Amino acid sequence: MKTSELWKPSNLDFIQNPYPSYHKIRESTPIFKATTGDYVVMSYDLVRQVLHDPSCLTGSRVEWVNKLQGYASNRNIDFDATSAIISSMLIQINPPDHTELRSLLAKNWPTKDLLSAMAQQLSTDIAGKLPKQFNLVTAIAKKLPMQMICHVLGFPSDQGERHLNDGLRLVQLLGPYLSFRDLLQTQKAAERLLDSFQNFYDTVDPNKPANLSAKIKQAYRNNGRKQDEAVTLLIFLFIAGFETTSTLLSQCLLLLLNNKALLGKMDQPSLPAFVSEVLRLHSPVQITGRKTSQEMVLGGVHLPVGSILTLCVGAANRDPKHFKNPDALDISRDSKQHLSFGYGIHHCLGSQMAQIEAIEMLKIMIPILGQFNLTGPIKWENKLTIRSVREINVTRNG
Amino acid sequence: MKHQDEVTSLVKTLIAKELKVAPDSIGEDVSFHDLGLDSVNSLFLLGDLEQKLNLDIDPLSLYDNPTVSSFSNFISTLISENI
Repeated sequence: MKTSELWKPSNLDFIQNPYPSYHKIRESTPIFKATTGDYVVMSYDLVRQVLHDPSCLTGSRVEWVNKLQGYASNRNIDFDATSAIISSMLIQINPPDHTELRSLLAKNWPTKDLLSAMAQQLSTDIAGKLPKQFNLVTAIAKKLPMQMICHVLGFPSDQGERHLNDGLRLVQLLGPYLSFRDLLQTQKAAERLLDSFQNFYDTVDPNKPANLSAKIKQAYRNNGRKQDEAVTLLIFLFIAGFETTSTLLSQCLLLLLNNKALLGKMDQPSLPAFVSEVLRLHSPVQITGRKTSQEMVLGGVHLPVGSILTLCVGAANRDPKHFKNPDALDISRDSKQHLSFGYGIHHCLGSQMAQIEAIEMLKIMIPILGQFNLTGPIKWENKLTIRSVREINVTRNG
Repeated sequence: MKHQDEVTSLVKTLIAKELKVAPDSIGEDVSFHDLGLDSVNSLFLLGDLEQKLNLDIDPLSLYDNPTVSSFSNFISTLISENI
């Protein structure tokens, strides 16, 4: 079978367990040209090299959505809200604009202590209200990150709750394997988000910097940046704040539910290493993209200017050349070198926040997790880019 | 049940609409890429086809079946599997 035929990024069976196929492909070649015309990069060294290379730019998804917007306007279909939101995704913005925005956010980001206290409080509240039967994904894994980012932004949690599914729609735009129906639903989600966040932004008082939104509003006023771009930046932070973190929390809980022996051995000092290892094994972001701005040779393959690179982070994290016995969960290994948060200038701004949430949630959940049992099959979302779980149904004993 | 000929003719009509050319000018064994379809207008094509035939079509199927004849064959099979 040809390498490109093993790569089935839009197939649900592939998405549910892509790792055996990743191994087969990586063993035959670290980089190959897919039928879609992009070059898929599978090995740890090459993925990291591209992420570190300043000539490999981000932003090709924005270009694609803008093209979509142009074609669609001929058919009287409106993708304006979609375009506005994806254009504000920091991961799609190149320097120098990226540098400026990133430093603005870093300067105003909440401290580690504040985030830990917040995560502890919210996790306690959530764990205290769990019913007898529930879906772990919506009751815990999505709820905690959503409430966290709402607190950080000062955005009302009850409104955030209404946008739980909208975030997933938008973040999937970063992936190239979408159907037209996906795009129409994304646009509806984008309009709802824009509407809510515009109304919210109008109520934010920049003179009382009680939260990140107020600090952003103040900075945008002082810098003379466009206010509507501040609104879409808040939407980006909202989405980025819970969509991938919820996947991390789901995977942590799922692993422990399926391995009660491991659950029994988990103590607080091992949590950071456990979370890091879950990130390596099950990267919420399975693929990310770059575009070449000059000719280059990568893994022996000549890439012309403007080549689209699909970086398979999920495969890089299980490269046996970098991680011994890569499919095994081993909390004693140095897993911090995983690429799940990216590498280089776009390294995830919320990486610390995500790990704090996972650790604080596990501290609260581990003592009671033994009482829960899975009641049905795990259901996955049908997209590889952000590989997420939709349903982990459990019931509580006694 | 739709014959493959009908599917072929529908696919050609929809591509012609995207590319603003006459349906007869579209070669059945020329790749979509060479015909001038790109990743955006091929999505519109799939969207129209999904609506007209009431089907779910894998967005990558156009790449796996990159000509009018192979793609129509794929769609005909999909229709017969769905009945």
